[in-house]
Amino acid sequence: MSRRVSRPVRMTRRVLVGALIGGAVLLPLLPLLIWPFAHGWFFPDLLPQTWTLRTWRYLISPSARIGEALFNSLAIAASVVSLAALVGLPAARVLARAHLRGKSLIEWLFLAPLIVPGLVVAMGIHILFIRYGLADTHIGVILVHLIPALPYFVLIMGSVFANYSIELEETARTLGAGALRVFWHITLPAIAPGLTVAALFTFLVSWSQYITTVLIGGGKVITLPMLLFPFISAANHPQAAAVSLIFLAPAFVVLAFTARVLAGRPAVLGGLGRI
Amino acid sequence: MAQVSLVNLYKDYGETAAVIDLNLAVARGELVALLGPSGCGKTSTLRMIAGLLPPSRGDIQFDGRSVLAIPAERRGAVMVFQKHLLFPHMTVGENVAFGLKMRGESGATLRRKVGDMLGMVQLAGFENRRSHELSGGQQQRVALARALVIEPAVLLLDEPLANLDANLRLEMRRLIRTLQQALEMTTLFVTHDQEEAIMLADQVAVMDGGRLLQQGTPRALYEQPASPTVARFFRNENLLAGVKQGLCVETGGYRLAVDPARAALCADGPVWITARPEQVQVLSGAQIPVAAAANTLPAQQVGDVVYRGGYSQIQFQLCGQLWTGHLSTDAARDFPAGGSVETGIPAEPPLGIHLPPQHIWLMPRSI
Repeated sequence: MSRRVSRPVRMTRRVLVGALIGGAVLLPLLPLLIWPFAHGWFFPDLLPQTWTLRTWRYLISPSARIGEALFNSLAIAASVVSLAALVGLPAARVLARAHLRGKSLIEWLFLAPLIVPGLVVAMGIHILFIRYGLADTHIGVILVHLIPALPYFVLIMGSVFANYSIELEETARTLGAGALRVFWHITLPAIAPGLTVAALFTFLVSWSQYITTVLIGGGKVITLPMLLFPFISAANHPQAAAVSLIFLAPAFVVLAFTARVLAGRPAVLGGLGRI
Repeated sequence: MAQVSLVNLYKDYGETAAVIDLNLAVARGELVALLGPSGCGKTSTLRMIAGLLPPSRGDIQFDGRSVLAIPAERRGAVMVFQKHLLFPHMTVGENVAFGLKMRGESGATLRRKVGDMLGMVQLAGFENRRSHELSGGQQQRVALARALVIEPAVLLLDEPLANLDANLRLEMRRLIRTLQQALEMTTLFVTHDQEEAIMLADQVAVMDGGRLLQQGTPRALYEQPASPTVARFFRNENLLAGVKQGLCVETGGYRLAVDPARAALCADGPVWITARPEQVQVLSGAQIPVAAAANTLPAQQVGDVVYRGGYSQIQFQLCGQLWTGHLSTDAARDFPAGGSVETGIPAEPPLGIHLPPQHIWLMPRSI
């Protein structure tokens, strides 16, 4: 039982906390909303003196390569998610359930990319990828994104499977469902909320990769971060802000979706819903 | 409905053996309880019959044919677990319909079968409820309906009542027994509760350490256990080492007469002597001279007489062993004070223990 607090107090408290979090997250983003429409915006001024759509006109022109970068980012991230699911689902399931020899070593190897700096690994991988003809290709970039993305997938799904009862599957089997139908009718619905979250996190990790994309893609595979960084280093604020907005969109989609998927879910996700 | 036989069934996990050379036959339409402590191999046995666990050696036969090569989903042995009963994302109706759908049934027949089955478990009209809207007992009944609706060859229940409170458990026992008999369902039931096994089962198989100790009717196991371990499962820890010769048994310098019918069931030689607590006659000091006749041994009371509701329980030292006896509540007044195990001071006055010949049971004892 939690301490009883009267309803108005609780409401006020909730609004205040919400405002604080909202302010901390959203206020720094405010300039991002203004810059893409600004035509000269200098220090003492609170708002730009003149407004323009010039930035956007440039960005939708083919020479800006925004469309190509957006497509590449989406396609690569989607592929990374699919591959992570292919490898990570069985791995997470086994790690969460089975008692096997060397389990902690396997766990450690899966999580190692969180500890070892990606840049270090990417250098070595680059040399290997050149040898195998994977450098400068989309497939190469997808594979290298998988390294930082997979640990998140396995971590999240591991906690999902740890709270998951295999007896449901066994019951379904004895009732006449084969392996595929058990997965489709029993496993998938049970892990769906967690799987959604894991997929979204994995998507975001791939989406925000820069250095690995630069190294392995060799400038031939253009993703959104690769357009964004030159604008930032050139202090081209309107264009950097505009690309940032495009870049941020999926993060907000993920946030909204995660909150919605996890709200009021049963305990299969354990504490995950409260992240 | 099938007849199930386990032939020299053996299962090990690396170095530890879970089930050792188990031979067990379950007749068609019979309910057999596998009774034993946790970790005795009873659940492993059930999973092997269901096809969820491959045996290391031995055979499992339904109606005389080996089913080892048949995967769980086509074997027709439905398992009901004690926890995680229902598919959480489905309604009650969808849960019960699951097995039928897997067999390709649909439409009006399916709906009728589901409705009928829910009626049988007294949940008619619950089709559209969700599992979290049901009580534990209701969930248990839906799980049972889901298993029975596909008319399985064998029904396997893995401690299905362990999570229910006492009153509900009684009610569910009756329901399971009624359904099992109405459908003549061949059933194996795993439990660690001897009372449950006695109430429900046609046959009880007692397991310990992966081995089958004894199989028989509840009454046979209760009254005529094959070994002290089986006796202990049925709450009888009264035990004396003795030597049997003909119709007599000797222990601690005393000779006890044994009922000829019972004596015939045990070979001469070293034996364990037991008598159930409720069949031991405990006499207070004043009564001893009167009953000093045959089959009465002196004993010392240990601890207090404990009221157990309906009867009282008394513990005493008999030939150096701790025994338990039951007293009627009236008789318990004659045994006011108790000695103390800690101080070792025996209670005054001493007791007389009469063991009626027809209630003495002998079990072979290896030296």
